[in-house]
Amino acid sequence: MNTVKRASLYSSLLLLLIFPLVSWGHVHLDKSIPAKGEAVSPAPESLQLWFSGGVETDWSKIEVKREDGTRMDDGEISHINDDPKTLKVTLKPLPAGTYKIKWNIVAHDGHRIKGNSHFSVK
Amino acid sequence: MELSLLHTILIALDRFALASIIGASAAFIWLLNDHHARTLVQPKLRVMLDGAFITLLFTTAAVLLMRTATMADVPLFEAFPFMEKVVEKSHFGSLWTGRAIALAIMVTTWLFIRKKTPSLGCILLIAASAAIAFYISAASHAGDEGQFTLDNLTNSLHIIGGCLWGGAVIAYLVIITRLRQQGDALHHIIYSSAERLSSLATVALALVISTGLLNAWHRLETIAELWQTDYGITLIIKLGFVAMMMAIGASNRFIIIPAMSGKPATSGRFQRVLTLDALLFITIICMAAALGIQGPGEH
Repeated sequence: MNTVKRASLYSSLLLLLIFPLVSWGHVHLDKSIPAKGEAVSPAPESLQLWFSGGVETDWSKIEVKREDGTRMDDGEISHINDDPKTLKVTLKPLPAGTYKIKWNIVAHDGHRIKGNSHFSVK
Repeated sequence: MELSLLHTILIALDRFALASIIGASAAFIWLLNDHHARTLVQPKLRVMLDGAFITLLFTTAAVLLMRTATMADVPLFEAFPFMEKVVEKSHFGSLWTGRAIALAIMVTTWLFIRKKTPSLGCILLIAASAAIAFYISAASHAGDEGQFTLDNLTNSLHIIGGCLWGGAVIAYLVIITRLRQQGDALHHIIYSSAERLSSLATVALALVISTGLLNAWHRLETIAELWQTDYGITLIIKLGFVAMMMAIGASNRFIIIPAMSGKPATSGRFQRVLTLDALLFITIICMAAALGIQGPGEH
C-alpha cells in the first residue's frame, strides 16, 4: 500500500470516529408532563415541556385543546424555574376527557420546531 | 426557490467568505515571506478580501432576515417588520448582534490596513473572524448550555480550524496563479510558500482533529444516527470528502511538494491538485450548510 492510499485509509477511519455528530442538530422535545398518551388524575394545572436545547418564550406557541376544539390553555408561555430549556403553559380547569397538544416553538438557534401530542384526564 | 435551499446556499456563502478572510489574512502573515512576491500578489489578495467582506456583510443581513421569517412564521418578504423584535428579544438576536459588532470591527480594520496590509492588522482580522465563528457556534446546538462553555469553545475552534485549512488553500491558489504568470523565475517562492502552506494546513488539521475528538466525546451517544437518518448519511458523505482533502494534503506534504524542489515544471501539477482541494472544500462547506438546515431529527 503506498503512502497516499495509507493516508486516505487512516484519515477516513479517524474522521469517522472523531467528527462532531450532532453539533449541527436541532432542538427536540425530551419529555413532557403530562407525558404523551398518559391518562392522569387529578387534572394537571399546567403543561410542562422539556427540550434538548434552549427555547424562546416570546416566539413559541403552545395550544391545548379539547376534542371539540375549545382552547384550554391561557396562552401565556413561560420557563420553568427560569430554565431556558423548558416551557410551561397554565391550563384552565380540565374536566375528564382527551386533550390535544400542539407546540410550535422557536429554539435558541432560531429554528422553528413543530410537534403534537395528547393526554387524557380520568 | 425553496426556502431551505436558499438558506443552505446562504450559509455556504457565509462560511466560504469567512474562510476566505481567515485564509487571505494567514497568507499575508505566514505564506508570503518574500517582499517582491508580496508586492505582486497583494492586489489579488486584496480583491479576494474585498469580495469576502462584501459577501459577509450581505450574508450577515440575509441570515437575520431568514431567521426572522422562520421565528415569526411568516413569508420572507413579510419578515422585515419583525427584525427589530428578533434582535432585541431573542437569544438568536443577541448572538447576531455580537456577530454584527465583530464584523463592524473587522470591516473598519480592513479599511485602515487595506493599502499596506501589515501582519498586525491581519492578526486583528483573524481575531475578529474567530469572534464571528464563536457567535456562529453559539447559535448552534453547541451553544445550548450557554456561550462560555467548553462545548461552544471547542466547536468555535473547530470552525476556525476548518476555515483556516480551506481558506489557506484558496489563498494559496491565488498566490500560485499570480506567481506562475511570471514564468519560472519565482519558482523558489512558489516552493517555499507551498512548504509553508503545508505546515499551516497541518496545524489547522491538528486543531480540527483535536476539537473534533472533544466534540465526539460529548456526543457519541448518538452515533447510531450516522446510519439511521438521512442526516447521518449526509454526514458520512461529508466526512468522505474531508478524508479526500486529508489524503490530498498528505500527498502534497510527502510526495508532491518535495518533488517540486528546483523543478518549475511541477508547479502546474501542484496548482491542479490544489484546485481539486479547493473544490472539495467548497463541497464540504455546502454539505455542512445542508446539515445545519436538515438536523438529525428529520428522517
